[in-house]
Amino acid sequence: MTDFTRRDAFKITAGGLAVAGGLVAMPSIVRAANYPSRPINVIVPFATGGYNDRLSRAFMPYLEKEIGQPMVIVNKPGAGTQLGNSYALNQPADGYSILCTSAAPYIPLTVLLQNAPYKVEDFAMLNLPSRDYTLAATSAGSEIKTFAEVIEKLKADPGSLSIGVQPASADYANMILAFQAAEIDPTKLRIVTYDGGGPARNATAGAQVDVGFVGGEGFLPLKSKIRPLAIFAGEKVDWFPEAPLVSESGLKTDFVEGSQRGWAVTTKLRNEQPEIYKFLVGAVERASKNPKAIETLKLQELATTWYGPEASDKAYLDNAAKMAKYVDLLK
Amino acid sequence: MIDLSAFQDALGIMFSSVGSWGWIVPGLIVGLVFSAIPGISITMAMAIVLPMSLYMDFFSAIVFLTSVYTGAGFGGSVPAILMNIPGSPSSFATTFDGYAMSKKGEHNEALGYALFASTICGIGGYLLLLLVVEPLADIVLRIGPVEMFAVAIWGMLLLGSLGSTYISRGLLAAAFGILLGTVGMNTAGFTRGTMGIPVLLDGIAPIPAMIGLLAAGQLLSLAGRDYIIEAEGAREVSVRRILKGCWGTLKFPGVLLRGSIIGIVIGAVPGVGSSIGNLIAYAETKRTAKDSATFGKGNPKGVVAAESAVASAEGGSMATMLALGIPGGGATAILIAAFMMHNIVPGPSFIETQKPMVYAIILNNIVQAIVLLAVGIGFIYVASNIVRVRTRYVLPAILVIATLGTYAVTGETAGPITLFVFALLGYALARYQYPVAAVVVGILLGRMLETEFLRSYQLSGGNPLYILERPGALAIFAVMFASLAMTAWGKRKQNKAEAEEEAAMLRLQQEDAARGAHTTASKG
Amino acid sequence: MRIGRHTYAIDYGHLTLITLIAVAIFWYLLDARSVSLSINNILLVQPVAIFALAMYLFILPQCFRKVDAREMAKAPAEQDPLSPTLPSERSDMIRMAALGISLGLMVVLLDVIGFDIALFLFTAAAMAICGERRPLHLLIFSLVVTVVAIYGFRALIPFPMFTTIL
Repeated sequence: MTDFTRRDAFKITAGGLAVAGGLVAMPSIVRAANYPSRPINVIVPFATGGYNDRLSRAFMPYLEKEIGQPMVIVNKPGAGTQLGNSYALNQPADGYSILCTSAAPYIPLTVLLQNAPYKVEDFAMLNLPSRDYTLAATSAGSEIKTFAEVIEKLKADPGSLSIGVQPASADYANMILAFQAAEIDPTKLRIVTYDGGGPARNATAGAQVDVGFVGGEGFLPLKSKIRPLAIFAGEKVDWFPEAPLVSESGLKTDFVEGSQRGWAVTTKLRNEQPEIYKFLVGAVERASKNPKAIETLKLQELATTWYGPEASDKAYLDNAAKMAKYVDLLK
Repeated sequence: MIDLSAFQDALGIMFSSVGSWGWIVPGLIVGLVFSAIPGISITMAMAIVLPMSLYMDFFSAIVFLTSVYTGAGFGGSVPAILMNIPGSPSSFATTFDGYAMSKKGEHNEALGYALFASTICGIGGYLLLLLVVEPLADIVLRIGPVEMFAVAIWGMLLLGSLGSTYISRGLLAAAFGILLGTVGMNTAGFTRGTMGIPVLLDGIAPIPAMIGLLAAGQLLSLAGRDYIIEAEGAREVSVRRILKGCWGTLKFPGVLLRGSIIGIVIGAVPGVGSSIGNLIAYAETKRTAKDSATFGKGNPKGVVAAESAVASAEGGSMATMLALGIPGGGATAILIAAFMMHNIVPGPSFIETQKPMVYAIILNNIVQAIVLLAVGIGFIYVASNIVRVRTRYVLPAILVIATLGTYAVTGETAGPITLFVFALLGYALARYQYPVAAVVVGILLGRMLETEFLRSYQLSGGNPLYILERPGALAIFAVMFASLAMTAWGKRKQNKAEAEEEAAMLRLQQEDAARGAHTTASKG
Repeated sequence: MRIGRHTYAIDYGHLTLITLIAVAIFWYLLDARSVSLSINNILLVQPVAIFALAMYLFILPQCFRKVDAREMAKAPAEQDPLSPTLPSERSDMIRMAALGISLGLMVVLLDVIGFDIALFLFTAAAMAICGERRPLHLLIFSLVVTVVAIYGFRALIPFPMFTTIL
């Protein structure tokens, strides 16, 4: 009696597990070389469904082909990527864990604002294809048409418009820099804080706040619900050409680049295992230049641009330096 | 409103792709099994099957994934009813009456009630969605912090129906829970109470804390028993009794309707999902019910109310996803990823250009809900056999699964440690008659209360009259107060009636006594 | 304890529990205030903490009971339907405590001796506590639970698990 029911109770579990197990085990192409000889973990310090998660999942098949080993995505969300970053640094520097992350501004921010137990220089970039910029936007039905209008209104009365933004982010720094340049006292503004880009975008599109400062890429699916006012970039952004540059509003302001997302490893790996590092750089480069990868990812609005490790590292470190310069604005 | 020609095209898509219907049953089973394991979230289940859907054509992939979603919506209620372990916050309210029914040996009926409430309201939610998918999405975007703050307060009203012996202890427990819920970095970027532990930056993980608090009181106390249900005769597993529960659901149309409306509207709000809808639906149903005293002791209406809100929330969050391309929660985020892998971007332009496809997806979800009826009965029949396994086998296994489940939430041993710490706390609280459920509600809603209160404050610049500019919030508060007032009035009437009845009884007794005295007197 | 003419019984367990809670809340309030006094930080935390501390002061007297009033207090109050009922028998209490301790040990040891060994030991211990005495049953069932749980969860979750043998 007991035996029968016990087996029954387990049948459900075991059945489910078998299904799952079958799904996870993927065919692997075994290569003779020493590295890589087993699957490689891709650490994504965000929850499933976000940009980095989607990027890693979409890019994975092409990267797997170049590396010759299956890859396993390990989501390690939490504490503004600090948990995932620490986790990555704690893995042995053997090339079996790589990161897919929004390196800038999250790594510098965790160091500057959360006293994370690592340095910006502990991470080495392979390639950061996705470059996001802060976009100031309003809902499609709003009376505000240009960024100059926003400045004008806030100059007259800093409390006249509500502003949605994520605190301690590149967007926040850009907002403060812009208003300082326009000589508006930021302490008098009605700033509404959101704990992520998504909620801030929804609040902007739903006219809950008058103006939102938030990364522009995420707005693409909601394009018809918003009106772009100013994008904090040096030149026209190809994925959002209709967004006017902030300089077009006549405002002279410095700005921080938004998220730089892509592939990274630990600096320890680069220094101790230069062969493996070179192999990984080569694999990412070939996968990024694979026309099929470019086509597939483009349709999903994911970036594949090949900048290379030097240019990516430079962009990342520049961003970190700028963040350090303006860290007081963020506190 | 519904676009008839698009609807006809949708029927065409449905019937021309009958092959994809085959994915409904496997999807439902995957969803049911995964979500019945505490700690394994719907999101995780869908992330696991996502790669598989890559090799299907678009409609099949969506059918498969939404089937997982539909199945998972119900699966969580199985451990909630049988073992008092809510697999996710959205099945918390199901434990109140569901587990109480199980203890009475009515687990068959309880699961039947939950299944039918879940499927009927799932269907209802999608039917409504078919009619109002676009306007609903626009309304959802307009729901701002003030409205959400009103909803959070409404959720806290559940505390009123927990009915502890000591009100003061209930209030302390709730306040303590709210404070626990606010640990970590708040929405304005301030970090409190983390003691320098990085995992706590995101706050105390609610699922391990919730399982710990509830498990301490119930699960560990099973150690002294031989079976989960003590009475031997009650341990039967019977399709007849499951069906009886299913059928019984239909006797409460009002409860179903109220739960669905609450579930759809709240489930549609991005980022909130169904974790609060079930609490509000339960509290409202209990407060307005004539037999409110039996809630928490195994009243089927409690199960029906909670499950109806959970199931209809699914339709709500699908509306937000289809019409706006905004994920309401993790599950819809995965669905969006699946859409994009087939090079389709959900959102305003998708719904304009591909209306037949949107309708077909909604229609297919209705079919899934109907299929869930059959698959679900089979599933609960198998699952409820757990009550027939001796605790010495089932309890260690459940504790192992729960521990690994809490590990699965974040992949840190912080999860199991949280489970254990809160198990101790839960034991101590139960020992001195503090309502553990109040702490859970506090933890679940604390963060939302703070976030929305803070945003309302920021938005209004501290001016309380700002609420007059938010008719939505005013309406929510008005409905809430009206409901409270009506219950109070009803209670008064009931009390009055009871008092009259009592007086009449007393009179009768006195008369009896007098007559008795007479008779004795005459005798004597 | 005697105060004046009355004898009081102190419920030390209850006193400890609420004092611990109150200390935690007080510390949390101080910690929050030390981070920033900005309204953005303490808008909700401060009033709720103060309210909770007030509730503590209100409940505090309930830990002290006049002895002669004790019998009255013991009168069967209506049980809160949603609060779990704890077992009252001594043997049940011991079993529950033992199970709780094993759970705690397992949780702490997961990362030390590996998930597989910790789960195996816990399952065996829990079965023994629940009354299973046959060694073969203990061994085989614990092994099965461990193997199914480890491999099952490894397939389910996107995180690695530290194991010693499996």
